[in-house]
Amino acid sequence: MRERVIAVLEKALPGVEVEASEYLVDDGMIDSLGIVNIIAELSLEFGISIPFEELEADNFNSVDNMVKLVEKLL
Amino acid sequence: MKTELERVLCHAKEMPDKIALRFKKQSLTYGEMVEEIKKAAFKLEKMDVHPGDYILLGAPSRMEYIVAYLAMHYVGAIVIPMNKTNAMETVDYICSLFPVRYFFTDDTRMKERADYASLKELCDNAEEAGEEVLKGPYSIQDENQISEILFTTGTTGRPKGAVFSYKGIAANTQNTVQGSIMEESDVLLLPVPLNHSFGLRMMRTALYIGATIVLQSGFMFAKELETNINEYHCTCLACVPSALQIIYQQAGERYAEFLGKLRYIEFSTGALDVATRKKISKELPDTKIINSWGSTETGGVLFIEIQSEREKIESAGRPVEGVKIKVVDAEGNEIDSSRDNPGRLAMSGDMIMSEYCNNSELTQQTIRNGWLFTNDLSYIDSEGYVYLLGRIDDIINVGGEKVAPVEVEKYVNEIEGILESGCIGVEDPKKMLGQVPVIYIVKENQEITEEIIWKRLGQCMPPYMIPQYIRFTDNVPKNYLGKTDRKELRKKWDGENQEGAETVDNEIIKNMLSRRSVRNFSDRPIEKTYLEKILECARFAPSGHNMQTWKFTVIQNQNNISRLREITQKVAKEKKTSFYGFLNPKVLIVVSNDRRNVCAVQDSACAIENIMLAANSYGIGSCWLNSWIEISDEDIIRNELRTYQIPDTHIVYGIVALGYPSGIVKTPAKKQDTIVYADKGE
Repeated sequence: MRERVIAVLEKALPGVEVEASEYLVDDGMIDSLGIVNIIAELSLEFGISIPFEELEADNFNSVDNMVKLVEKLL
Repeated sequence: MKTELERVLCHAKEMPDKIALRFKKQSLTYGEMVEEIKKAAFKLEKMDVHPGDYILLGAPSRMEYIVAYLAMHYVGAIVIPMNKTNAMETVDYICSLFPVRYFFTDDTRMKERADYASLKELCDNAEEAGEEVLKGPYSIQDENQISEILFTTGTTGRPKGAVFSYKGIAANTQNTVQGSIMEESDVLLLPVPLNHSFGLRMMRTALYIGATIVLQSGFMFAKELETNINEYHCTCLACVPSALQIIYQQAGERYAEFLGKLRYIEFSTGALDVATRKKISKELPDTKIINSWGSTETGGVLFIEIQSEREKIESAGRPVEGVKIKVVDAEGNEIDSSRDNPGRLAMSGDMIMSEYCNNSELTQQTIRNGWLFTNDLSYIDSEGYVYLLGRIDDIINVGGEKVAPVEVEKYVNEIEGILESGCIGVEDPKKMLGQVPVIYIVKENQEITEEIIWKRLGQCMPPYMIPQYIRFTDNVPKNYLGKTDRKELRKKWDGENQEGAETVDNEIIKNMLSRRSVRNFSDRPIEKTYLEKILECARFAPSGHNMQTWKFTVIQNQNNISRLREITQKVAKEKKTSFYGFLNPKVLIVVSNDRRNVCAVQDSACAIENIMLAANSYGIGSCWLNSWIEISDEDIIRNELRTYQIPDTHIVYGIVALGYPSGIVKTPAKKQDTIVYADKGE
């Protein structure tokens, strides 16, 4: 699962050390276009739909938080 | 005129406990903020920063940024606000224009730079500063001294630096204080970038007035807006028009619930289109909508409150006191402008920049005799309201008639079922009119056709303004502020219309190139005649040795569809195979084939492709679910198949979900390197 999340992020954010960062959104590594892509790719990869309630910066700030989010929605 | 720093120092004395800044769970009162500013200023002095030193400052939407910004003014340094992340090339270029002392940022990619300094450390570990050792606050010797340089990420070539004096920045703030309706009791939610003119002037205005600022990093998450508005009782919001789309998309109708709590919303950086102005003023009846217009070179200068100035809803607003405006012709002479006789907008007042950094030629072209000449085509009505028709370079010359792309977009966007559009002028392929308008349209409702659009436009637009070509697209390219990037659109058009392109694209090719996987479907049922034709196309797919051992089982009952979805999900989870979700399809076509036929996979795939292409030609969306190949023989699935009289010798090679698309259909990028012409030397 973690590997698949990392794979999605590495594709969406070339050149960013995704695993090392804890504030991908707040530090500006993920911009608004990036997030649209990441939401779409995670939804496809895991067959989930991310509801409005979960669309918050903290859920996307780090690999760990994204893994938690996906687990919750599976 | 006081600077916002001087005012902040007063607020700290007069209302030390008033909250000045909030970011998530953190907050600073005016009293605490001034302490932080002094600590950071002390640290800057220890780092040998002197009045007049050039300092780059990365602008994350965090309290540290505002503290650092004010601390730099405290020691008299020249602040150059930068994006929170920057391309090294841009930073190098800016550093080549003047001697940069430090670049304070949190972007660790900049760590190798000699001028790098950590923004976090400046604010975190600042030592206690005794009043006696701190030299500031810097007292301004001459109001024409440089205070700030704002770089525009120019759409063409290199960034331009607008140089502002202390007087310029103070006037800039004053104009927004006047034009905006912010009060000391307001809590401003500020998600716009803080290195940009709009974000900066809203920030300065709030600090000047003594209001509270709630920081948020961008508009990516509508939920975050809701949380901040509710939790911190925000009363106003600085917003960009393009953010509204993200908010609608994520929050749907619910957006009005939380935005409706605000006393007012100020929009800037690109005017809100008229359709949106009408929509939100209806849906947010208790929230004042202010549209302000300005530029990096001037700050906000035109303001309009949409509800109370309803009859002027199409206007960009009126200038605030102290700002003079006029419309000039190509020679720079003032004209009596009107809709039929627009010209270039020019303005004067203390708020205009002093010059473009290291570019006297461009400065001379732009500022003459105290007037700043914009690149905006406009006219002024009898009551002093300004109407903007677009960038002069973007104006389309259709056989002598001047067409403004924004006007075309305004008409197009008002048609129901269209999400957004982008208009450009292109050379008339028939070589008769010089240029003709072309419109790129993002559909909200897939049923919209070119014919419908042309018919509607014919009813409301003069003929020369009607786009000669309509292109449907998945998105309208935007720059980082969310403004339509017409240069990109032009590139797109050129790419699509290279010589020969016109002759090789026919309806069949267009159909193939426009098919996308659709997973969200609307409630609209699929017409029986269409479904029958789609199935006929499936039967006509090629089949190895013409065996035709396939079977197409059509499932339309919603209970059956739900059950299939559930059992698939269940089995896929047990078997740890992937299962891609689909929402609300109207029809499932189960494509099965005899496993003993060696061409079963290929035949089924061809039939599925035919189904998807045929569906696309009717505007019906489709998605291929192929997880059943591996699970057809699982008991629960096999039993289900038996109820549909699918023989046990059959494997389901795919299920096609069909329905009219709902929402926006995404286009994943197609890989570029998958085609290889392998012959050498030919």
